[in-house]
Amino acid sequence: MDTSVKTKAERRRKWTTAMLLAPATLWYAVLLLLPLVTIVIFSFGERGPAGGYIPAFTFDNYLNLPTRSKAFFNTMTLAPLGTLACLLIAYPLAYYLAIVANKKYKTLLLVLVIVPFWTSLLVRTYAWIFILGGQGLPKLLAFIGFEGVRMINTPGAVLIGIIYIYLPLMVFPIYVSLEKLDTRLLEASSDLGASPLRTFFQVTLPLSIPGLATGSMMVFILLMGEFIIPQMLGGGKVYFIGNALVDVFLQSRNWPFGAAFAVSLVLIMLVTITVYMRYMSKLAGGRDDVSVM
Amino acid sequence: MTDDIKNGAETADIEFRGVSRHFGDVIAVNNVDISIPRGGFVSFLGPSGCGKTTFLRMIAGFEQPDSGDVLLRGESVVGVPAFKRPVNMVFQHYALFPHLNVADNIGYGIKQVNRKISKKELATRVGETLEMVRLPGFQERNIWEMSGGQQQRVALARALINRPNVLLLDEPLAALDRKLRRDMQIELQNLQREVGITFVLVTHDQEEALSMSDTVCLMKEGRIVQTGSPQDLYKEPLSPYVADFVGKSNFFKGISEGAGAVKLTCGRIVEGRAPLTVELPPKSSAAVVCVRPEMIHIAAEGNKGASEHAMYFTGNIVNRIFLGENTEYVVRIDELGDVLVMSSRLSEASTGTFEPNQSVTIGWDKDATLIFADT
Ligand SMILES: Nc1ncnc2c1ncn2[C@@H]1O[C@H](COP(=O)(O)OP(=O)(O)O)[C@@H](O)[C@H]1O
Ligand SMILES: [Mg+2]
Repeated sequence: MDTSVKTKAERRRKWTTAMLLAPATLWYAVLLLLPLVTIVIFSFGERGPAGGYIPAFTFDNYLNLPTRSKAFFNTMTLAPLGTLACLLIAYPLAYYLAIVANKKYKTLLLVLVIVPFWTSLLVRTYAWIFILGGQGLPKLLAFIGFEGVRMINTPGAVLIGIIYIYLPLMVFPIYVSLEKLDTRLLEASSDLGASPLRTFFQVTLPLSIPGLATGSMMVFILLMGEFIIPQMLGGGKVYFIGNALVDVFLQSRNWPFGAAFAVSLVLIMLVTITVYMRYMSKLAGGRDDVSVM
Repeated sequence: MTDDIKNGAETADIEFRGVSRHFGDVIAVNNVDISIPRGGFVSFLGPSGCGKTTFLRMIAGFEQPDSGDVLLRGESVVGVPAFKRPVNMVFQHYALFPHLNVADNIGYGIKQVNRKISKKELATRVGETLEMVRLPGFQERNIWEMSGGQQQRVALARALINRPNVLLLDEPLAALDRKLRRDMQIELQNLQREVGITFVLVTHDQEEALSMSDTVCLMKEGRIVQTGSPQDLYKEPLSPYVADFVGKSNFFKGISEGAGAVKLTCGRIVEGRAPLTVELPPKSSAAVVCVRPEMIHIAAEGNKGASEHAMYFTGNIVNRIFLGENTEYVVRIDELGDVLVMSSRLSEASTGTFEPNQSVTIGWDKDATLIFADT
């Protein structure tokens, strides 16, 4: 009798769990899996005479991808580079906010980090067009003797835009993991004879790997699909896979070719992320309390 | 005015000369002079917030004194950072590295001072140290897989592996349950004898300080108020504060009659003695009489026993606390107020136990009465 009561309660609990998960499951099924499957099917199809999709089974779309190798090259170099640059700039900043800064000003400083998010990304990027354009920094540089520096529409401009837009996204996860760091661990390390530098590499850095990994992952994933920054600051010269997608889907209306683009982007991301996560959890010392994402 | 523990000033491991440390308006450590000789087990005992941790952190090098001098083996270490000092610390909540396993935690110290140590030698040293703290074979364990007591041992091993001159322990047993704490007290004592280095322990738990150390320094508001053996502190407290903090005490106020007698506020005169090295308060000055609860005899009213003592009073039991080996009674005496009396099971064998509201007589001897000036 006892057991029947238990199983009843258990069944009810399972049912509740299922009900609570249902919206999320439905969401993922409809909005993620379904489009993904559609895209994969499209990628083997053919373009209709007026654009769109005609069912077929061909690898042509994939074989044509190399004609757009520039987009792949730009994305695959500037996305990791941008992630790395964000990381190198964000880490000291997060370290300062979490460990060095006076508690009284911490909140204020954190708010300052997110203030840029309060205005539209488009507006902020326009500001950069001006700063990096002919009337902005280059003019200033010319004034002090460096003539003819071109900034806008270069990979460098795109990189600057990337760092500017994505920095807060990197700062926060690192900040959180450093904030959690027990400063007595740093003292223990010092007590055992480690210099501050060695303490940083042996204690602080390994213990902030989760934040570092989360931040890098978020920035990297978003960068792989980025198209606004390259479009505005790269001026069509430095275009990403994202720009190519827009181009192929909306301009040429070549859906199957665009789908092939999208599928290859997903595959590239899957591979990079898997390798990256493996590496990070190894760095974190294989702890099972460290979830890299 | 250095508080020399024994006479080992020359070989002192640690010496404080007029050391003070402030935090804003708070004086955490106030003009402390102390000399701790080599090879002893010294405890710093005091209530929470009296500056014990700050004191320890100045030895470790995490805090620098605002004034005064800190010496390790005769050399001033003021301004020397923690990682260059030959002392190691067992932190209050162990502060073990969560990203390293037991062996890497313990080996951490060696790797800092001897970067070229071979894997084999490192493993040997770690193994030896683990045996010393009775955790053989735990090398590959993760920290979060260890119980509190085991983590405590890992913390000990980690701090001992570099063979420091001094081991600092900040409330090392506070997080353990009672039984385990008892075991660890004995183990810490044995360990100290085994390695022969100075152990400096700070705690708010008088039982811990009394049971483990050769010397106890009692602290109050950043100062050291008495230094001595556990027996000294218990039997010859220099002030009512010490008598109150170390063990339990009953205090009665009165006016000194001179010559070892005090007229209590109720009019009764009690006789007693001043602790060794302390002067009796002068005649007609305010005085405090201190009697330990275990020195008070309790008997049912009318029964002989308690009334044979030099001082005796009659009152009612208002509370009874059974502690196992002892029973504590709170006895309300018209002349004195509430008096705490402790009765051992052995004495209960002859007197029997007492019930709340029962009328009893309590009494004590002249030897059990300590007289202090009331300040
Ligand atoms: N870093 C600090 N900043 C401000 N006040 C402190 C700091 N460390 C200790 N104090 C103060 O100094 C006093 C002594 O503290 P502490 O040495 O931790 O005492 P204990 O270890 O005996 O409890 C306390 O009043 C505490 O609030
Ligand atoms: Mg403390």
